[in-house]
Amino acid sequence: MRYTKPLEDLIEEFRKFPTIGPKSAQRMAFTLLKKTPEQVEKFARIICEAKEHIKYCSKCFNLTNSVICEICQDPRRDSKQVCIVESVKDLIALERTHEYRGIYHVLGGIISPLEGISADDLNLTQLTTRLQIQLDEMNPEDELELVLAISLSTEGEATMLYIKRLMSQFGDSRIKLTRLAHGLPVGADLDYADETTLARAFEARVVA
Amino acid sequence: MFVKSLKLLGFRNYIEAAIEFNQPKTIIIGKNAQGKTNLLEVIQILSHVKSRRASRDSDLVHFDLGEAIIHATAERNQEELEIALLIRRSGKRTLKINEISHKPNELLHHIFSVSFMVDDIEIINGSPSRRRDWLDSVIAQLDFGYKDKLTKFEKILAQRNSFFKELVEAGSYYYRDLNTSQQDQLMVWDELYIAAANDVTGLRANFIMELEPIAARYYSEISGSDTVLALDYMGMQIDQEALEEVRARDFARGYSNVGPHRDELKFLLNGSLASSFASQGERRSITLAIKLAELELHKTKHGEYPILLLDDVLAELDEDRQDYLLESVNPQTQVIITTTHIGKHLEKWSENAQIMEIEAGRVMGTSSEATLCYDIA
Ligand SMILES: Nc1ncnc2c1ncn2[C@@H]1O[C@H](COP(=O)(O)OP(=O)(O)OP(=O)(O)O)[C@@H](O)[C@H]1O
Ligand SMILES: [Mg+2]
Ligand SMILES: [Zn+2]
Repeated sequence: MRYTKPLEDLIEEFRKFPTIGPKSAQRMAFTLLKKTPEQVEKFARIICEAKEHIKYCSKCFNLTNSVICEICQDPRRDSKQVCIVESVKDLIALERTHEYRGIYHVLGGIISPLEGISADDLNLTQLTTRLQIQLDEMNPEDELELVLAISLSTEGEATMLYIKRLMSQFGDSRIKLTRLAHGLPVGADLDYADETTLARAFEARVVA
Repeated sequence: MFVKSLKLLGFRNYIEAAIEFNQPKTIIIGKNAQGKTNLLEVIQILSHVKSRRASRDSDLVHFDLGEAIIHATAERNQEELEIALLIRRSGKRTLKINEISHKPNELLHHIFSVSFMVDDIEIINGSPSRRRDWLDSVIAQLDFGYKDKLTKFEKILAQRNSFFKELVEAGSYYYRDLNTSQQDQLMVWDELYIAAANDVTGLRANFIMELEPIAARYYSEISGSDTVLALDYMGMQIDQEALEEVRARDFARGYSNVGPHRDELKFLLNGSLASSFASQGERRSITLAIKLAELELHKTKHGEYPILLLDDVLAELDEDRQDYLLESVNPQTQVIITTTHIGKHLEKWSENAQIMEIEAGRVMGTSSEATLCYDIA
């Protein structure tokens, strides 16, 4: 037996979300059906409003409900430190550490020919434009640090190398590129880490 | 290195079996298709993660069952080792070593084995990829960083090839057709590719350098002649220039034309290519020599000989070579031999060996009702 058409359609829509399989989609649809009409209307309204009001920050591509995001607008944040991340998800993860006081640039992806993603699909021309404006306003002795907070996968390394090339084409000695030290996961046993992580952590060791 | 016991549940044609090894030498005897090779395959999987003949994990699971469990106890450098491996049809594995969960590839670093199978003559006769597979599986046990480096290279290779294919599909057949962003991306893939390729090639070349003199010594002893065995690894360190040289071909084929995935290894007898000139017997002697050399390298790297698995190979060797093989192996080394019958050659050897008879996935003479541990889930 099949579900009635409206229910089928609903399940189908849920299935379009990442990691949602047929079983989960069904459960979600039934949960929705159990709600009162008012609850469902509220839910629908929230979805529409989210779509309407949430936009990409025109400077850093973080999500925002205005033109410029809160981080970019915050005068206490150091605009001479720009952290480059793959996605808004990574930005949020870094924000949770409360360590970083600079601003961001969200690439919106990572170079991966196998998935048809090339450098042109990332927010990189926007990055160079924005850095150019910033450099024009800066003193000659100031420094602009770009922190590459990108994963150490093959695709991440390709993306970092590409950005490095882009920046060297700027030919501006005020730009300083850094990348995160590849450390051991906190709390992990030393002998539990894989060879590569361990070797890299050793390489990146600091004075104790 | 000594495997003390194996408990199998749903592995190949073993529904349930428990095996204790109590001698350094074990002879597994049985008619054709009873499960002798399957038993050696268990140890291959415990040491190499994969076996040559199983293309997927579902091949390893008993036809009528959903999953297979291998439970092994072993001793390595006087330390006890307990391994529990759950193999699912889906390919997802669960591994516990001394009751702690590990990634499946961790198997590479605990139990070491060298196997000598009938089809190993293909290392000489077969395609270059067969030789590269052999190199990769041996080096992965000798150098614990190798597998990661190889995987990294393979990922970069796949991305780089895909990058070329995309360019070709978009109608760019030459470097000059590329826009600056594409040129930069090509340089990025080149840079990553060169580093990863050289890592793999370097370790392979190193391995051959260490193996060659030992294998050559064994070869001259086996053949009783002064014929010189040489191994020539044709892999070269590459640089930007090397990539530029094949650029036109890379574009034309949408594929990376130089690198460790294309490297060849040559076996030479007195300078002549074995795969073209050597006799069948000489080829078997070469295979025997490199296997014995593998044992020595394990001893050097790990301080102990690995387990030697001999699958039906004795029958393929003449009497002198059979004797040579059995006598040149260190008496403390664990050796497991499969055979359909104990012929003259095994008579002397079988005196102090444990003899195990296999029939239709059952180990005869031992109780298969032995309590099994199901502690892996
Ligand atoms: N997944 C599986 N489930 C059940 N049986 C299997 C499975 N895979 C292989 N077999 C069976 O195992 C048998 C082969 O076992 P194996 O290769 O160990 O034989 P063998 O004793 O080495 O024989 P030979 O002397 O011919 O080499 C075959 O009968 C095959 O059907
Ligand atoms: Mg067999
Ligand atoms: Zn912003």
